[in-house]
Amino acid sequence: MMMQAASPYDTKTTDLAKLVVADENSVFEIRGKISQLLTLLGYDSFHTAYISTLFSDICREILSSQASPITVGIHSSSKPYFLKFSFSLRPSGNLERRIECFFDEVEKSSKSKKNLIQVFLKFDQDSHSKRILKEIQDVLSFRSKEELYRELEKTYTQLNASKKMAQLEKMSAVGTLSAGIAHELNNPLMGILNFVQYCIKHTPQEDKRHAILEDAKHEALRCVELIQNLLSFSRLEEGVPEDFVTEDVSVVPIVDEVLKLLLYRIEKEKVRVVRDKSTQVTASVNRNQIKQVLLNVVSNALDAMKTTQKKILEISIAREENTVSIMTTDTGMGISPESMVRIFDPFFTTKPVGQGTGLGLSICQNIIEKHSGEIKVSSKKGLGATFDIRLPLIRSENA
Amino acid sequence: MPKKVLVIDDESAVRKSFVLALEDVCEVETAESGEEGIKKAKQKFDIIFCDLKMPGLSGVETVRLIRKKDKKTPIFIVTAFSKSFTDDLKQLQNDKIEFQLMSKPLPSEQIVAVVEGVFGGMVS
Repeated sequence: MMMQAASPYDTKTTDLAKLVVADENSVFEIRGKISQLLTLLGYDSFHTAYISTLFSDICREILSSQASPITVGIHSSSKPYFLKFSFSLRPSGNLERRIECFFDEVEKSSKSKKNLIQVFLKFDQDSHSKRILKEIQDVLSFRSKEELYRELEKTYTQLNASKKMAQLEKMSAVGTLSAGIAHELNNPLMGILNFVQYCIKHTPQEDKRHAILEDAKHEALRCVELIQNLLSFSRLEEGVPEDFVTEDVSVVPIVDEVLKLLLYRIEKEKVRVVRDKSTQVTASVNRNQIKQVLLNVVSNALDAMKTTQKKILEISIAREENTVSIMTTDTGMGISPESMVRIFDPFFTTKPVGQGTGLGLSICQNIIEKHSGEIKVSSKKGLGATFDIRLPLIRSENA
Repeated sequence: MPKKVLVIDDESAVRKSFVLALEDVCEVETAESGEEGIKKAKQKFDIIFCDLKMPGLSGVETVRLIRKKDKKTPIFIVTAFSKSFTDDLKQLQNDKIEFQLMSKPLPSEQIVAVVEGVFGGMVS
């Protein structure tokens, strides 16, 4: 991407600005001015940012090797969007070295509509300039667009990995905490439940206290359910082998079973279920756990469509190389971006108090990860949500 | 002869739960610790319920000691499953020591159902 030869743009140029760059602050200032200039000349935001960053990097590089101010000239060539920078160096005495950078938009290729930027450098042939050139090359090559993308991609992957780590740590902390709480609450709760049941047994039905005791029992049972959820969550977290055995399971019948379990709700809430049963896939999974996941995801979809007019639940199964993808799409209220970030967090729920523990999807994610699979969600607020569950067709040995 | 059940649990709420649930079903004897449970288990009981996590002797150790002398009485380990005991429970199973697991919290109808099931020969 770099050329030492004279640039093809030695056409007549117009001076746009001459700037003295003395220190870090002036680099910063000039970077701003250049951005403005580029915008004025019609460069888009990506190129503006790219060129001005590149430019300030070069300035810094030269400054650090010179320890004296440099003069930067900015010229425009005959092409309206073509800019040329020249750096004048006065390291010692009166000798002036010139380094010229050209930023140009290469002809749009017929295949990709993306603009590419090429950088050309022209400079004196003395050794000092060569050294600086090398340094600039380092900067430039580091900043080449491909590199930039690669860097970005790498950062993105790292970010994802660390996010995943953070999530795992959070989950394990919550797992330990919830197990602790659940264990501690278990015994007193068993007492409360049984004491209330005893009182119910010994209170005549016509006594108005009977109904109140029934309420108390109902509430206690709600706590029991919560505790059992917590325990099953922490059991997954702690990795207690709830006999994690996998078997070859045909996926379509599992979905059938889950829909059968929810048939009452589906009919009552008048939800139209659209199925694609054409893909017959067998996956090596723990049947009950996968059923639990699907039950959760589908119930959530039904919950999401409670208030919407359109009630369509689409379930499709697709086979891709080594994975099977089970995709559910609803026409519910969708998930807001704020909720999206926390959707798999334990105890995160948008459901009214008492209607959700916020553990469902957390447990799902846990189960799917145990299967070395992946669960993804996409949604637009107001436009429904799609859950994509991917499971490996053959479970890897170390899973 | 009336049927007798032994409940070993350090939590009084749990012991009381069994007593209340079974008041019309059978006699209930309670023990606050594994040690006390082993002493009481020298008498004849029809069912023994034993907590898992107790100070002093744990449920696993208690059951092991009871089983040394008594191979027949159905023993239920009542637990909320905790990781620290999974291996112990497995070991117990591997050593062919007979017991069954029940998960807490138990509502009264479940306690009654299990006890009546054993008495009726449905569960052993």
